Amino acid sequence: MPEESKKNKKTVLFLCKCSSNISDTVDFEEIKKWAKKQGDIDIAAVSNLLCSPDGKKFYTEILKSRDAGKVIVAACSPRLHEKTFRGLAEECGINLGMVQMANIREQCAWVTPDKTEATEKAKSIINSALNRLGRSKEIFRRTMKAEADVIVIGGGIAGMEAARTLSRAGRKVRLIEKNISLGGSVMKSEDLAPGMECSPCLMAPILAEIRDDKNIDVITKAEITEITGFFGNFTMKVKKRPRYVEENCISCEECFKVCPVSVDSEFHEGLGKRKAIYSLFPGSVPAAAVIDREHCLHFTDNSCSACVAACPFGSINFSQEEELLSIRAGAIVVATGFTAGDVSRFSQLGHKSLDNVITSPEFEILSGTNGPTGGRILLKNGKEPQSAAVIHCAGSIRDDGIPYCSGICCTHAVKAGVMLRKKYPSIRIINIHNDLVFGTPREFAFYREAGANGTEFVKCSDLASIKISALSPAGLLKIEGDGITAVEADMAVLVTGFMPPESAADIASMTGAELDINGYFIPDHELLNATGTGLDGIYTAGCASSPLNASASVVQARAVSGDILSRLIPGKEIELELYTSVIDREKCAGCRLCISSCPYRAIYFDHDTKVSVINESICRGCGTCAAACPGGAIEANHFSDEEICAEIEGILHD
Amino acid sequence: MSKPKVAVIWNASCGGCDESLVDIEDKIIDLADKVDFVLWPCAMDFKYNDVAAMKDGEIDITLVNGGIQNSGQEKIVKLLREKSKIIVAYGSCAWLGGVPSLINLKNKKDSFAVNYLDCPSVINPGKKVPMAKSMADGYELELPEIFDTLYTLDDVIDVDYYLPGCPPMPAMIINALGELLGGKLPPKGTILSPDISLCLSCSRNGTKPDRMVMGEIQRIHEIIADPDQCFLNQDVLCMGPATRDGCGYPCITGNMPCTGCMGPMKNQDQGAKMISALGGIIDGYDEEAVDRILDGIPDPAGTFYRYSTAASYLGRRREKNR
Repeated sequence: MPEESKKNKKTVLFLCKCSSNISDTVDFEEIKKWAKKQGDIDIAAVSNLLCSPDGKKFYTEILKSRDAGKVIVAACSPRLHEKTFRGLAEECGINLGMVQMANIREQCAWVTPDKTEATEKAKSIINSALNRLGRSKEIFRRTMKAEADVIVIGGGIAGMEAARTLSRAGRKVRLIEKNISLGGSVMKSEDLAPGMECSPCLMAPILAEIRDDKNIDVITKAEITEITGFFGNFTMKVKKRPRYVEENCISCEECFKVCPVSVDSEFHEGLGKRKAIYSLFPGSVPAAAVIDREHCLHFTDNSCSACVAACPFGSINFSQEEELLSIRAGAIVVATGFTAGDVSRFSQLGHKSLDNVITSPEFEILSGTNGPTGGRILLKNGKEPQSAAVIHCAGSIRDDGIPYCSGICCTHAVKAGVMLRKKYPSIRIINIHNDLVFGTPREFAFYREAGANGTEFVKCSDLASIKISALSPAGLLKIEGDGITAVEADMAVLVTGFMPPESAADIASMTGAELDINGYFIPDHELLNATGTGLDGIYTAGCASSPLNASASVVQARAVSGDILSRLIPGKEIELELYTSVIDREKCAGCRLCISSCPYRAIYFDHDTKVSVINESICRGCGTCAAACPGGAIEANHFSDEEICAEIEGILHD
Repeated sequence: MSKPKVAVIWNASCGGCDESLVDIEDKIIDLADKVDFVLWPCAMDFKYNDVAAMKDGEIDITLVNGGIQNSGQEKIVKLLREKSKIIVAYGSCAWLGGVPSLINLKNKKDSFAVNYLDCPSVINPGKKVPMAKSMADGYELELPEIFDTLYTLDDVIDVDYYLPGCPPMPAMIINALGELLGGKLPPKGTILSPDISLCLSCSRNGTKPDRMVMGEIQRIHEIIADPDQCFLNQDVLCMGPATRDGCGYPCITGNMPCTGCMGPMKNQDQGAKMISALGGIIDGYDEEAVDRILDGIPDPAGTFYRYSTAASYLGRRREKNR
């Protein structure tokens, strides 16, 4: 549009009564009279309800017929309808930046009961918008190309669910797992409460689906070394450690039989043994076994190659090397899971020092059919337990342990008793707890049913006081604590809480996503965007943002997938933030102090030109850098000092 | 053809600005050849009445140093404004209030108490403090009235140019005078140094990491400073980022951090800017940790507003209504 014709464009003031919400306290006739006297307002139009279909029609008709160039909408908060009225104005050929809301409802009519005062206040607010509009610049929508592929970190139930949901929509997914195969913590459970579904049976078809899915690229034994980029354009560097076993291995386990090395199995919480060539469990994905370089005799003293001889497929390859991968993706799902709370520092609980005292993860693996005892839970002396005490919150809700309630372990604690009773119907179960937390009606019913079936619930006034000792010579355990009569039992299960794994902190520092004081990812918005992080495009699913059970983890994985699928569409460009901050290259001295101030990591230093640069596709226009720039070289678009000062002057002037 | 007339006047300042003129070394002789000094109380014997007798606009350039803190200073700068074509706020005190304007965080009464009553080295049994009017031997004596607030020069009179520095560096003085006497006048209101921060030319800027964090703040005497590393990267506060370029960074060369004497970039508040910038690099998880780091700044006003209190958002401390 030629400058000259732009100049003749009209400034239109819309006054919305909001039914009577605003007009009850603001005198519209007076405002109209006042507006007429303001040289800069050409037209003042009153609507009963500007956001209604009739109101919108009225709005666009006036904008079109009266040759409008600038618009003030004196109505409600811009949070409600700024988008609406900017969008409509855009359809009428008016630039987004030329539409200014004047909030005369929340900031005026609703809080100023006196009609005269409210009317004067409304004038000030409109004058402020008018003054600002005089300094406003045009804003243009911008888009950029984006990758539609996704990286999922963590091959537990949440990560696998996200991967297969995304894959179903045709997306290419890289599923990154630090362990040697997929499955995560759920794979270590036998039954999932409260439904008591068989966990390995649930997982087997999911694992098989992922194994056969051409869209999902599973990268195991992986270490992420770098994450750069932003929503739509991430790059991740991954070290893929060698398995020393080729992909044609089907895990026939012939080599396991001949391997002379036996070491504690991590998958079995150290309660079982594995060979130096091993897999986590039958049916692992990927199927190929792994050689543990630290213990394999070929690597330690070159004295053995039994597996090579035993392998019917020629899969053993001692010369495999580490691969460095560079992967691009539009979004990253962090599904790093959890680690169990550590009770070793609480010596009075007797873990490791007393026989028959085990933690809940140990209990889970011992009761597993894929566990070291094939699911049998026996006392050290080989006898079946007659009684068991289940200690809630072991190492939790105390400053020297996990300081919070994980919220999901009470159900696990009840489940331990239920599983024991299933194996040994006459067993006595005593759950020692303080508070009890059950998140759903089904979990609550599960607890009540366990009680009805004989589980005793004993309330201890302070679980930190629990002391477990051995009663000789009977071999019984004695459990004492504040507010309870001492309990005697054959075995004790210490129910541990949930903690974020160390890898979560690494990913946080690589991406810049923030962790809370307990090490969980802070959600972008607790209610509205619980699976987002402060960094657009970095999502969390499962226990990465707080302890969650398997069901909630799956729900989150699907929620994340839905969000990604709705925002990253192959071939479609993503819309960038309208109000970004801009660095004036002429005024930037390259001091770099803005870089740390940016919560979105949108600023980088250009070492060639020696100035800081804002990546407009990451910038969310928060303005922090504009405030922080000690040289005054950064301006927040649409919120420049000039515009803000104009707004303030407009309020203060008569 | 007569030589251009130049006046120099000293207000609320330390005298360093007057000395800086002499500090241009042999160039002062050239200058004295090229111009007629018509007032320079520090160096030459002229009377204010000589100035009052001049025609309006007769003086070509007046260099005013120091802020305005009493009625006498106000009177002479107003007179000089009438008689001068160009007024230059010379040095950071005239431009921003300078070190003396830290008094704006107190008031006249407090400052008199410190200087004339409570100071351990003062013996003042009559508890006398300066007064505008007093009687001695039957005569009424009059002295300039000291203000409660120290003002910048442009709070009091219209100023044409600003020459920053505490004091301005010789090269800057020679350049500025050359430009102004040569008739090459920049737009009115120009601050005669680059409108960009000192980091631009600082020799240490290249040693800085891209992502700067400060886990503690130490004072320069508490460490043995690396002579090549950015001070901020050594956990020492350097005002360079919020301070104008143009001085040639002599302090940094002397292994001392910038204290900010060249003042802020155009329309910026030096202290607020540096505080905001620190907000982004202070590395403390919670308030307690941040407080611990900030304990390393025992004198925030003197650190962030050392040269600019009068011109800053702070301006002065407001007295509570009694």
